Amino acid sequence: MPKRRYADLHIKVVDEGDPPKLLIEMAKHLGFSLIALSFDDPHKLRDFKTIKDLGKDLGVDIALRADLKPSSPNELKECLRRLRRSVEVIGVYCHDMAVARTAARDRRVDITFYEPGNVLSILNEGQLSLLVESGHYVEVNLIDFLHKTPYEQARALWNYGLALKRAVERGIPIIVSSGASRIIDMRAPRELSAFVYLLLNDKALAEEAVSTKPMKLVQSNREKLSSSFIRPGVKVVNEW
Amino acid sequence: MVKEVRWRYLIFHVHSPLSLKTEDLKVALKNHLRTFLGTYGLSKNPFRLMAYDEESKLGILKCPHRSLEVIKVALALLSTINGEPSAIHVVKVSGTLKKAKSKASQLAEKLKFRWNELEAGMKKPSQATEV
Repeated sequence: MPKRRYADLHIKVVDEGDPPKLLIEMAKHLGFSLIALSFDDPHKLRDFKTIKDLGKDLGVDIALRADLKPSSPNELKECLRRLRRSVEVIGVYCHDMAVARTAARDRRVDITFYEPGNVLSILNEGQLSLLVESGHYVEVNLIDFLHKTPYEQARALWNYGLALKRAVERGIPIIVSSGASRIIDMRAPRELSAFVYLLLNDKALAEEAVSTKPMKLVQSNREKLSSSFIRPGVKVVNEW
Repeated sequence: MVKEVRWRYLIFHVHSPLSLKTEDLKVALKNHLRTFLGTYGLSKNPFRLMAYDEESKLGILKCPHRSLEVIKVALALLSTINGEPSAIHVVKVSGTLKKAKSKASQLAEKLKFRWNELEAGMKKPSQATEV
């Protein structure tokens, strides 16, 4: 049986956080074979090639992720138009209903993630139906549960537990990521999967949320970004 | 005869800028797990710190096999020890204390080297864009 490979699709490169090199080394140490880095500053993208090479040397595959936090649906569409062909993963932070609905309808979005405080109100039946149609992933970030008071932690666990159960019942794929910008906030794949197990009480789903599902997402997006891709199921095999 | 409780031994590594004494860690773990699980939860998911090496920052925690996932999550959600940002990573799980101890001693050298390297680069915002 092949060894299971793990992915963390949400590691943030920010000024206040640790440098990318350290984040990659930590990911390697924890046992991830793929990580997706999101940059707060587009100027840092100049170094992405070097970062990717560094990951290659360490045996960690690096994907480029864009985290969108639009204030309106129009801004979201504008960002998607600009970024879709240049990044491998697009995640949208759904902080309000209008943005969440637009993100759920738009096929250019890969992942939607929510604030623990309002996940129950935004991830309602309407949103779930749209997510089912578009096939987006719902992401849980462990960072939302760290550095919180016990009360906030309990509330976040309750809200996410209910919301994810609803999503799983509708067949929406769940992925779990650390959402960390510092190595101290990064967690090992088994810890992330134990976290999902605690919320959903399903071991297979918990394992998939940190391994096969994120891997599949990046793989299919890379295929789409390749020059030979025409449409799902159709690609150029030979040119003459 | 089937055993009523099957115990698991978690080898964990403390990632903290503090050099923690065994007693400090014990208190921190107790406080965190009591807060996270509550009194009732703690009665269902008991744990015991079996060993802790202050130098390598590796420890062994005993818990019932049914509580393994809960304890793992509880440890993963620990983000501060004595007010300092810290983390506890479960490195390995074993079924016997003997095996856990031998594995922990094997891991000690390997981890010490890696963590020293990683911790040396931590918390330097000026390096954030460096590669």
